[in-house]
Amino acid sequence: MRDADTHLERRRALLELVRTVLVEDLRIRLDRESIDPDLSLFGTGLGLDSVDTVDLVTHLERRTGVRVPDDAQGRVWLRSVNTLVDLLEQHEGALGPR
Amino acid sequence: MGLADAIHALRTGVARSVRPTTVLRVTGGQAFDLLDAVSPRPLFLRDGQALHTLLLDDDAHPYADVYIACDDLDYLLFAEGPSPEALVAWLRARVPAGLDAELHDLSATHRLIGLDGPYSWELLGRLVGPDVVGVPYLTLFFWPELQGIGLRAGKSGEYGYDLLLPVASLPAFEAALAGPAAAFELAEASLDALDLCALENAFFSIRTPGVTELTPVELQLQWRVDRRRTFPGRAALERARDAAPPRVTWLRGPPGAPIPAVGTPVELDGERIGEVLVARRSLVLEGPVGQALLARPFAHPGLEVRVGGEPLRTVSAPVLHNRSLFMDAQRHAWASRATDVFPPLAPAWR
Repeated sequence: MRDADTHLERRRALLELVRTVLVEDLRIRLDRESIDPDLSLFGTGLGLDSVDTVDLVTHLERRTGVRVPDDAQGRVWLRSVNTLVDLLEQHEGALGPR
Repeated sequence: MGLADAIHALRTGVARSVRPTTVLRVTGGQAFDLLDAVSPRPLFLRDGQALHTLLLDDDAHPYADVYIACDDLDYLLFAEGPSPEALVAWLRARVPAGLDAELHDLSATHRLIGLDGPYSWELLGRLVGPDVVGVPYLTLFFWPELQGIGLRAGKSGEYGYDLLLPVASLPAFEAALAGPAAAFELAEASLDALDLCALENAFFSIRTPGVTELTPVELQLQWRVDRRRTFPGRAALERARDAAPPRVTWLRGPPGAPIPAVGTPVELDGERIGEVLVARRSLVLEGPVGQALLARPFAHPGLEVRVGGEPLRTVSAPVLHNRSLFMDAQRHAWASRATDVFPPLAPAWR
């Protein structure tokens, strides 16, 4: 398997994981397939608010063990579905059992 | 004013633009019903709220990029794409006849002026009053002295406000703006500059060639439609979903790299996986930024690809660390911009 195939397989799995958090934990009003990878989480796009942010960060950590830092880099990770996947991709165990 | 100056102001200060947006006021007892018949999203709007959606043609291609705002008993429709005459005709052709709803074209009587940039909130506060600084995204505000209506929106990734002003109020607006404009080094931004910012920040621009031949499924705009509703283009949209078409994915190249032409094949390990939809030189990244239409299995960030033989990378959007993302009205101000600390606008290439 090419490096690119391994990378893509992991990206797809992590994307599905973030979709699961949004659909099952945050109960957003979109079906999974309508959650596009570069969908913005705040403002335009999903329009999440500060309460949603706490829920998102909490459920993401519960499911993956990955904590979103409360700093400037944390704001970058929380910009879109894909930036959250970028964060999870840096953690080897994000897809492991909880 | 050149593109570089406009981008500098949009990314680090504040810029003004004149928008060619079509604005309609929809009045009458069935104004809601008229818009509800064509909006792909439900009009769950309280007074003063707006939503961002698309008007789709019967092939589910974008006809207009719209904000719909609730203004007391009326609605305001801010539409990019069609002319006022074309939009009115399009709406009348798609809603039941006899509705108690009137469409009023505001293009002859009003102008839409944009203020965008990480310090636009502060300049606007000087103009309209400090309360406007706290206006939430997609919310109307009012400027009674000028009979103006504002919408906090923006498609640049920075703080953005659209001011709808009567033509008769423009001299008073210019007079009120003169002082703050000088203090904030206000620049003029062209649509070209705004479209470059939109590309860097994953905002849809209906002016991008080719996008009106695609559907929200390809454009990553499915959040702008609600599959539980009936609206023009819905059947075609479902067919597009079933077909799993290519998906736009953002590309970035190293500083100084050439800008690929539209249609240039995108290759991964020698395999063609898509083609360039749009590409430009990002003045912030100092290299190419663009969108490619990639076969869905490959439409993810992190791929090292070849585009016209040049090495580019698929990336997550937005591709910048916008200053507005880190702006705090309690800590930051135009006057202290030289000493305020923000992350670099351009993420490192490597």
